[in-house]
Amino acid sequence: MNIFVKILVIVLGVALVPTTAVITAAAKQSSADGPNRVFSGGPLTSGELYSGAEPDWRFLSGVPTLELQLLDPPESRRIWVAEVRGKMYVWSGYMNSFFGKIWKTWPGQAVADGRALVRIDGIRYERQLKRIQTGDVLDEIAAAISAKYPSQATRAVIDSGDLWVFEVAPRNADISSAASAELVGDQS
Amino acid sequence: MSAFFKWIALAVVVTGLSVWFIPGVADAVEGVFQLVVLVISS
Repeated sequence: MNIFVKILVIVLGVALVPTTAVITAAAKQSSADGPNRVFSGGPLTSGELYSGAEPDWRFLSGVPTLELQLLDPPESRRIWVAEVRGKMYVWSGYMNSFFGKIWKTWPGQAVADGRALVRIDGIRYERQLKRIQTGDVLDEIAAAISAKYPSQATRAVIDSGDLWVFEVAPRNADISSAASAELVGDQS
Repeated sequence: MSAFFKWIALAVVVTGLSVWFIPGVADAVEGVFQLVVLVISS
């Protein structure tokens, strides 16, 4: 066997061990109650389910991340969150990049079916994700994101489609998946 | 090379089982992976 082929085989063989560790850790987390810092998790099952009046979301300014789970598919991930005018917003960047299109699947899933569950400080809230594509509030959201996180979020980035912004609105039981999809682009 | 493949196969199996069953190992793997991603992306 050629010496270079031997070296390549040895390198790939050795690399297989840490790769296995990462894949196994990700697979294990996928069935857990919620995500960890890196890997997505399974359905959010623990924690009190909030019921009552719409919370005062201003406390989110002190919350670094939340756990977000879509109902379909029932997978959860840990993401950044911002509050503007008393409403909760989440977002996904790198949507125009090659890796973003492969890696970021939840935004498209949220547009198809926005029903979601978020868990903040151990309390679960039933919500509806609605993509925001127009309106002056996007300027405020971009400013809030940049002020809270080391992010280069701007209105131009949002308008380019590289950053998808969602309002984490109250769940309306009457809103069907199709109806929620129709809301895309109609928010201000 | 045959012995090498056997050792790698054994290491892969042991690694997978360790990460899945031994408490804390998956968290350690996640931490290291996060560090690697941060270094690569910075």
